[in-house]
Amino acid sequence: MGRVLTNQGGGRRWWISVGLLGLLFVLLALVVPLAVVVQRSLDAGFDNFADALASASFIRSLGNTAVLAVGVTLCSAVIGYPYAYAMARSGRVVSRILLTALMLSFWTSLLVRSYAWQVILNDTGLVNEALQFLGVIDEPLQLIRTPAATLIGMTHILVPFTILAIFAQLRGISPDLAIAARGLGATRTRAFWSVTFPLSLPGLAAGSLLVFVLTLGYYVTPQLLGGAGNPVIGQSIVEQTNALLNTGVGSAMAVILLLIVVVILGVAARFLGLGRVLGLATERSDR
Amino acid sequence: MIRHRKAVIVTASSLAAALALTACSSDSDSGSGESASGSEISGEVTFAGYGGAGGDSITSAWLDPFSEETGVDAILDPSMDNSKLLQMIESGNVTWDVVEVGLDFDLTEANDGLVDIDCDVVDCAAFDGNWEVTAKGVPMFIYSTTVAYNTDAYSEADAPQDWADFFDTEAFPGKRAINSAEGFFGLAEAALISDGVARDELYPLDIDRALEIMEPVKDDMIFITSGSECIDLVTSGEASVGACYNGRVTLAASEGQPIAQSWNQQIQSADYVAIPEGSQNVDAAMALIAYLTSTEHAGEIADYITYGPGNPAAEVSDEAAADVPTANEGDGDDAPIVADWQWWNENRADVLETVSEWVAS
Repeated sequence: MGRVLTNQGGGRRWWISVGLLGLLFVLLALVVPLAVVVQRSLDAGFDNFADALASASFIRSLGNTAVLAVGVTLCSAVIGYPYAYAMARSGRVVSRILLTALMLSFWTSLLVRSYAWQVILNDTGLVNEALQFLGVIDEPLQLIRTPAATLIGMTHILVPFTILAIFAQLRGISPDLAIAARGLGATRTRAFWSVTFPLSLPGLAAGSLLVFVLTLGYYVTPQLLGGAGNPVIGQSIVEQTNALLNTGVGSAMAVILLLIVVVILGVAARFLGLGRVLGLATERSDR
Repeated sequence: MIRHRKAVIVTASSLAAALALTACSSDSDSGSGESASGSEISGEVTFAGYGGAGGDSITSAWLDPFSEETGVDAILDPSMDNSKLLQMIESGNVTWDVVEVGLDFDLTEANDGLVDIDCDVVDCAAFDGNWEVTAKGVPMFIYSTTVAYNTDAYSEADAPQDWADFFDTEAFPGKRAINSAEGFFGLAEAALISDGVARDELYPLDIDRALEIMEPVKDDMIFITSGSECIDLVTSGEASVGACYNGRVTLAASEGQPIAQSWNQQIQSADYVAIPEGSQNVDAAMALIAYLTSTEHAGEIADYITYGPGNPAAEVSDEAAADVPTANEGDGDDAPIVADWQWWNENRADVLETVSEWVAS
C-alpha cells in the first residue's frame, strides 16, 4: 500500500480513478435508491409519517428494535472483547485458529446461521430434545419465537464486527506498554485495566456502534427466531410495502429508521469522540 | 498512528460494505422481445411468478408447451413480488409481461396499471363459478388452506377435521401453525364459522370477535409468514396442526413426510394472471393467458402440482383429482370457505393493523 502511494503520478492517477469508480458505484447503488425512498415517503406531504407514527404496531416494533439493538451490542461487547484480546495477544497458532473460526462463522450465510439456531432452539430442537431425554424437563421450554432467541442469533451474526474492530485496535497497542506498567509495580490486572483497556476503547466503541446500527436494520433473523409476535422495524416496513402495498408509509418508516441512525451516528461522533475512529470528523475530536 | 489509520480504514470500509450490501438489489435483464404487430405473436414473454414448486409446475404445465406450440419463448421469472410489480409499473420500466397476482392486488377496472383483459382472446364466458374474470385479471388456479396435521400425532380416525377442531387445543393438543401476515384472510372467516356465525352473515367481518375466538389458543399459535414454514413446522412435529396450503401438504406427504389434511371447510383462494401496463409484448402475453386459462389446458397444472384450474369448465386428470381442491369440495357445513376479496381489499389496512397488534401483544 505505502509503496504504491509513493509511486510516480501514473500509479496515483490509477488509484484515484479506481476510487472514483467506487464513488460512482456508491452513488448509484446507495444514494439514488435512498433519494427515491425519501421522495416516496413525502409523496403525501407528512401524512405518511403521521400514519406511521400513529400505528401502534410500528411504535411497538420501534421499542422492540431499540431493546434488541442495546442487547446485541452489550452481548457482542462482553463476548467479543475477550475473544479479540485472545486473538491479539496469544501465540501465532492459537491466534490463527481463533481467526479462522471467526472467519468461518463470519462468511457463513446469515440465513444458514439463522436456520441453524432454529434447529437448536425449536420445541423439537437440540436443546429441548436433549433436556427431555435427560429428564430435566417434561414439556419443551419456550426458546424459539422469543426475544431471547433473536438476541442469541443476532449476537452470533454480528459479534465478528465487534471482535474485528477491537482486534485491529489491540494490535496497534504495543504489548510493551503493559510490560512497562508491570515493571513499575502494577499487577497483571491493574496493567490491563489502567493501560491496555483504555487504549483499546476506541476499537470497542467503533465495533459497538457498528453492531448497534446494523442491528436496527435486520429483518430476516428476527423474523426467523423471534417470530411475528416480536416484530422489529424491518417487519413493520415489510408489512406496509408487501402486504398493504403502501410504499409511502413503508418509505416513511424507512426514513424514520434512517433518521434514528443518523442521529445516533451524529451523537456518537460528537460526544464519544468516535469521529476519529469512523473517519467522520477530522481534527477536532482528537483528545 | 499508522496502525490507527489502518483501523479507521478497516472499520469505515466494513461499514460502507455492509451498508452497500443492504442496498444492493439485482434487476433482472429485460425480457422484452420484438414487439408483435397484429395477431401474429412472436418474441418472448416473461411470466413473473413465485418460484418454488409452483413456478416449476407452471413452467412444465404451461410455459414450455406454450413455447413449443407458438414459437414464443415463455420464460419464468420467479421473483414476482407485489411491491416490485408496482414499482415497475410506476417507473415505466416493465420487464414482465404476465404476472401472477393474488386477490390482494387490485384487479378491478379502477387499476390503470394493468392491461384490460381481452375477452375475444380469453374465453371469459367459461368462468361462471366462485372465481370470475375481472376487468384486469383471469383466475389461473385455485388452491386452498386446509386443516393439516402431523400423522404421528393423529391417526386419520381421530384427526382434526375442521376449523372448530383447529381452534380446540384441548381436544387436539399441540401447537398451531397459522399465517398472520395477511390479516387472517379467510382464517378469520373460518374462526367465525367455527363459532357458529352463519356464512351469509359473515360480512362485514367482525374481526374483534374472530380474535376473541382465537384468544384462548393464542399461546399455542406459531405465527408464520410463508407456506413452506407451515409444512416444516407440522412435519417436524413442532406444530401438531397447521393451516397449510393444500399443494404443499400433498407434496410433502408424497415425499413420505408425516402430514395429511382434511378437505372440510377448505379455505379457497385463487391466483390470477394479469398483464402490467408497459409490457413489451401484450399480444403474446394475452395469448399466453388465454392458453393457460383455456378449458383445454387449464386443468393440466394439476398433473404437476395439486392446484385446481381457475377455469371451472376445465377438467383435471383422474390421477390428479384426489388431491385437487376443486375436486374435493364438501357440502353444507363442510363446504369450501370463499372469502369476499372485495371486502378485504377495502378493509385490509385496518384489519392488518388490528391483527398485527394482536399478534405482537
